[in-house]
Amino acid sequence: MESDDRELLDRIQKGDGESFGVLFDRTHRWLLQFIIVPRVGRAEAEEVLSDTFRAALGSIAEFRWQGIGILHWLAAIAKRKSLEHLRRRSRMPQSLEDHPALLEVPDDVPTAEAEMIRQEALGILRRRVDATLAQLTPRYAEALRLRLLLGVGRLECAQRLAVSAATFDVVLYRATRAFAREWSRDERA
Amino acid sequence: MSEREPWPESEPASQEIEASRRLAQALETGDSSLADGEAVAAAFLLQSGAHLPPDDVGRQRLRKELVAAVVSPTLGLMRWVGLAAASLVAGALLVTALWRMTSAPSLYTLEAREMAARQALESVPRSTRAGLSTGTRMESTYDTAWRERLDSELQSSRFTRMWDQSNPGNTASGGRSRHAIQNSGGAS
Repeated sequence: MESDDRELLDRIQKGDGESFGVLFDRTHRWLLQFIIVPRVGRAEAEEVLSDTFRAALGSIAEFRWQGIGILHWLAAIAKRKSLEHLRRRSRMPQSLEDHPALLEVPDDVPTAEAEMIRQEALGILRRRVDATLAQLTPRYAEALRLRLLLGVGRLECAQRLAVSAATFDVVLYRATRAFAREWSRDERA
Repeated sequence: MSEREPWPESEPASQEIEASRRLAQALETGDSSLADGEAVAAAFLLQSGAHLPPDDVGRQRLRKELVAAVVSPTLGLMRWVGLAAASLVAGALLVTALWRMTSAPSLYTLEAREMAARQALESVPRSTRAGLSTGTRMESTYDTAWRERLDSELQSSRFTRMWDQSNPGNTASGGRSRHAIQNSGGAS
């Protein structure tokens, strides 16, 4: 598959715009899911994704094969852009950033297989999330599932749990801290 | 139910309420600068495991922009060369125009031109100039004669037409029209 990547890169470097579009299609979900969202959150992820690909476009002419694939190279740019974004907002990198080793980009990832790898990594992540949620009280787990996994709005979540919005905020806060503790415990184990 | 997180929950302290509000704000707006780092990190981690929304309009627009922004290196080089050449030409024209604007035609320049014209005229052999003059006069005489002939033919034609109109049946050409004369070959 590396030859496929090389051909794609060659076409991009010769000025074929549609090939860069193919690269975007193959990699942007992966970058969002495992590099950008865990660092800056869903709300600002699209902005960082945009910065990442603009930076990649600016320097792809100089890209040379030196033992890493295009996805690894893009992941490095996405990490840097995420950090720049956090610094611009005067924010420190999140404390869980270094914990989830499964979110690290493996070496020599062929770009054409990015989607397959994303699905596999997502499966591993979800299984681990489910295992961690199972350690929490059902109410905490339900709050996290609704608000963060299913993306249900804050007021509707409060309604479903039959509490006020302010109480739901407290439940969610306690739930996220409990989740972080369980996740870190598993990391250490 | 886990023993680590007793249920029902305890009454939250004011600091916890504030931290909860900030986390809620961070999830709504993305601004997590004041929120609890560990809670935010856990929230973002959980969000990354969620289903991504389908490609929205913004992502499609970004893709189009990126595709259009890719430039061929050869084309890019040609653009730079073209731009440099155009700049050189424009610069040269500008310098010339400025030089002409600043240097008004001087007496010296006019005199120099007149002198050059005289020298050019002098360089033509005298015999050639005489020949040219004679040729011009002959052409003039020929043109005058030709114009006079045309005028007389025109006047004759007018007279014939007027006569025919005022004396029908009694033509100025002795009973024969000009057309008849021409058709008969001109012989009476």
